Amino acid sequence: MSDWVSRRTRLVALVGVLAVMLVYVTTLLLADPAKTVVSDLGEFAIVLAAAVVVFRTVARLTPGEPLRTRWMLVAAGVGLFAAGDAVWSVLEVFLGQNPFPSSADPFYLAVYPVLGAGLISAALAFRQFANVRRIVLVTTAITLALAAALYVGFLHAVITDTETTGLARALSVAYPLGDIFLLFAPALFAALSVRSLGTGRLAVPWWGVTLGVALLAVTDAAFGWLDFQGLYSSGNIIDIGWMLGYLSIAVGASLTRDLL
Amino acid sequence: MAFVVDMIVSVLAPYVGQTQADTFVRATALGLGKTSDDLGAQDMPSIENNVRRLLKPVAPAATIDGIVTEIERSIA
Repeated sequence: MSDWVSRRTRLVALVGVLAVMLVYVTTLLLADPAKTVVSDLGEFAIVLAAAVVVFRTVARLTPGEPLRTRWMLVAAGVGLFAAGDAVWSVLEVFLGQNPFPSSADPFYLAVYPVLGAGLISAALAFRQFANVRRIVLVTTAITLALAAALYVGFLHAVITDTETTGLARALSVAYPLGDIFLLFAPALFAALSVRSLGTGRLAVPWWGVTLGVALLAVTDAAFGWLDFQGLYSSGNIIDIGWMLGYLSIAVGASLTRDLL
Repeated sequence: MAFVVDMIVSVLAPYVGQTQADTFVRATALGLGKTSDDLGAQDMPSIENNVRRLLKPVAPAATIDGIVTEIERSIA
């Protein structure tokens, strides 16, 4: 496989991992408010760079071809998260606010349907290579089991919490539900569909995307729980999950460009 | 004509994996009422159509053109 991976893709992966490590180690060494500045702006820079890589892949694909539409959705999803991070950074770093709900939430919430649609579209594109009925059944079973575990372990407490306002409670429920049904389930559906191609060059980019999105879903769910328990602040170790998730998607996009 | 099969599989396998490449050749031959070993250069139009149909949803157009050209060249 390594013989067809371009220097650009290796560079994206290497620089990305180093940047994530740099941001995390720096946040370990600093105290607030510098820690928050590095955490917020570092994550924003990494996600923005990932969005640029994905949009550049979209630009290289021929307008009108099915693959371009799929990557356009992925690019829009990454771009929306970067926009959310930009708004959040302004609120927390420059205005010193830490609100929930905030004006960053519409951007973060919009990531779910857009990225989910991109993954489902990719999964359906690979349906001719796979047993779709079995994949749908497996995906549904695993997703419902996870949703049940999430409800018992976390959502029930959020829904019945009378101390939070209606909108905050609705968002606290919407995020984990989006993680399970609009990120994790489509990522699993896509991964199982792509699996039939093994490590074929047409499959490998989607391994990067599905791994990245699964990482985002797990990180989001962990964030939701930590935040609800009052244990989260910027610079927490789980921030790495978002950065690595978007980096993995960027590597997938760069691998698609390597096909051209 | 087994070499035609081998050539098609060797071009496709790096992109879709060995299993899918083998399945593709068998399905294409079956569609023509032949066995895999009977496929020849004269079947190239059907092979090309099937490659394009198979890969269109999952591969960049330029990559598909490259694969078709490579198959044509290898079995010419």
